[in-house]
Amino acid sequence: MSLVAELKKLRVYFYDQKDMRFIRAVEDVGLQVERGSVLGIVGESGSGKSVTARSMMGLNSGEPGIIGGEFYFRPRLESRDLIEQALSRGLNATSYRRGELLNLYHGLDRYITFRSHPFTVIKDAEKWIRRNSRVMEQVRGKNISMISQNPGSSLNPFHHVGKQLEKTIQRFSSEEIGDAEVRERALGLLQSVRLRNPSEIMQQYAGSLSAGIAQRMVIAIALASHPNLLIADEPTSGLDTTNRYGIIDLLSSIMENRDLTLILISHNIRLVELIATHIVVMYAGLVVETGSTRDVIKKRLLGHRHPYTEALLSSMPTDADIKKGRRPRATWGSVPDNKLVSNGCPYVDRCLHARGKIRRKCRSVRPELQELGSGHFIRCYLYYR
Amino acid sequence: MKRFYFEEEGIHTQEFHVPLYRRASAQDVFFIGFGLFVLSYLIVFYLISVTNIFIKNPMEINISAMFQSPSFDHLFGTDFLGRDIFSRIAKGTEAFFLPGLLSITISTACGVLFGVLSGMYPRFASKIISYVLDIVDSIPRLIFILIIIVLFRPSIYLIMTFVGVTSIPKITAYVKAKVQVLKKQGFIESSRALGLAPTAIIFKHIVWFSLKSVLVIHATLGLGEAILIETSLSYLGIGVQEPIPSWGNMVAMGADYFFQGRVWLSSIPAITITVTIMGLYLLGDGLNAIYNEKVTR
Repeated sequence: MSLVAELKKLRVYFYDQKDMRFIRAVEDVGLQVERGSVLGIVGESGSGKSVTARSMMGLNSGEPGIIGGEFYFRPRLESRDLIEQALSRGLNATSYRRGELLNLYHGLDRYITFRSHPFTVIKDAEKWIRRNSRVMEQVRGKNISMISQNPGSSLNPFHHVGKQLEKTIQRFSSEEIGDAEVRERALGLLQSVRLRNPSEIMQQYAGSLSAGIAQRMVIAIALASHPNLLIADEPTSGLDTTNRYGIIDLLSSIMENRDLTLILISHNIRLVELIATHIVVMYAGLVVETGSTRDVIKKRLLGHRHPYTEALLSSMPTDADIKKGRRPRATWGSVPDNKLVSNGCPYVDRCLHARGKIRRKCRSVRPELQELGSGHFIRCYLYYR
Repeated sequence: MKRFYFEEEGIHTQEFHVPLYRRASAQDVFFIGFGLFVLSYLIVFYLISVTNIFIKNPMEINISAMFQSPSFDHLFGTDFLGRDIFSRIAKGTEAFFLPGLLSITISTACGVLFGVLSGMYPRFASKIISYVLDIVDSIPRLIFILIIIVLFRPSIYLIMTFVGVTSIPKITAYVKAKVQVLKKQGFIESSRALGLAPTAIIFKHIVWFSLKSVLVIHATLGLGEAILIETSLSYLGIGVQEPIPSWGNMVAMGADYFFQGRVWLSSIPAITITVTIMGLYLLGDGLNAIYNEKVTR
């Protein structure tokens, strides 16, 4: 088992200029990604999935938000030196290393001070942003690549999509290559993402491509940089059903052919279940359940599943479930407002299982992640031993 | 063919990226053609006057050929000293051509710089830039030009530098608004996610890919404005001084003979000014119509 990335106690806060205070987006998120595996992150919208992904890319830094925690990442050998240079700048310690992993958030804590009563955050924003972007510029592209939510808008509308792909290939190739070679590689990439007539598509503009083709194009551009880790942030959200499964199938076949690790983010738990080896279920900025797909989804015994995971699964029953007479069931209520941070479990208002004494406890104290089986963690008082 | 089909159906579909030639209506084609004609004769006149290959010398005084009406010999006639008006109009482009370009260069370069800075880094640059540019914007232009002339000297380069500086705020505001829209687009974030440096994103994806049409349009309008200011100053007698021809002082000098029936002396330069400025403005309009495509779906 070798880890590619490990996130520890990530917390992201955004500054609300109207109310003059920080809003919690994500707190205490931890996840581990093994090499060659697929990690699925599921949850409703507003649960902090995209924020987690974007802070792994260092794309949150533009806004006056804050990121705390540790993000260990195994970079490619050739870019390791540059990242270490950026990390050790201004610091003489080498505590950012842990084996082959590097802590990309190292040294950011210096600029942030937390106070709990009243809850305030003091931040030296300019230095923080400068340091974060200096490190992340070495990581983005070569090491971590991202497929974003809306395929149509992530391509430049003013140029042929083929040109954008070719530029990316040229930028990330280790040696100088000629135009013919670049074109050949581009066509090869487009064939590997299963586009039928690549040379015609390369001549077109982003606006005239259909969503499915545009998404394949975006995947091709993301793969052109030979990343270590690919983050797919809702890659299927704007697509129709057949295209949706096509993209998922494509991603899994790419995984087989390349040395690639995938983080798949989706609100559709049944889709993630198809290819993910591990699943993280998030709710209101917290990880509520994490473990291997078998543990999280396939175990039928109640008592081994978080009520929220139960609700997600029962809202999308499989064929077998429907045969047994289980109808799709909507959970009442919605994700709580991030501005109203309660001390207790965020799911308690919608929870149908906790009763009596336990429910009172849920309201007052937030539960911690508790290990049930090997590698199967759950954040719920119902299963505390 | 496809386009006609849609129009017959009564459905007006705006495709996301339509080739330029398909986006242009007949009106746009006329505007742009007219503007290009104006630009081309301006350039030809300027080249003639710098290389000094006039058919008739514009400075040569010929008392025996005063007040001749337009003919094949003198295309636009002669003025009160017998000088050829056509050659003088050609020579008159010298008065505003380089100064106009100077003014455009100053306004677009500084406008883009400040616009991009305040659009991309609102926390650091926006406030101070907008304060300074508000002050510049509040300067009454013509009065300050007069003050400059009184204080220094009636140099057209100095005046045009001032005109360039005072039109910075307009371009800055435009570029800033455009950058603020563009930087939230998905493709900018995608290029950041691919590891492109911020400077590369700003200059390649925002300025070069998305703003170059805007800059061309502003440059044409700026040239028209520069010509207008130069001619009006020369008409008032505080721009280019008499023996050296300028369209403005030709109108002013010829105006004395207008009611004697010698209308061509003042009206031909005046018509030239009108046509030229109209052509440049229409060129800007036409380019604006075909280049302004939607950024989002």
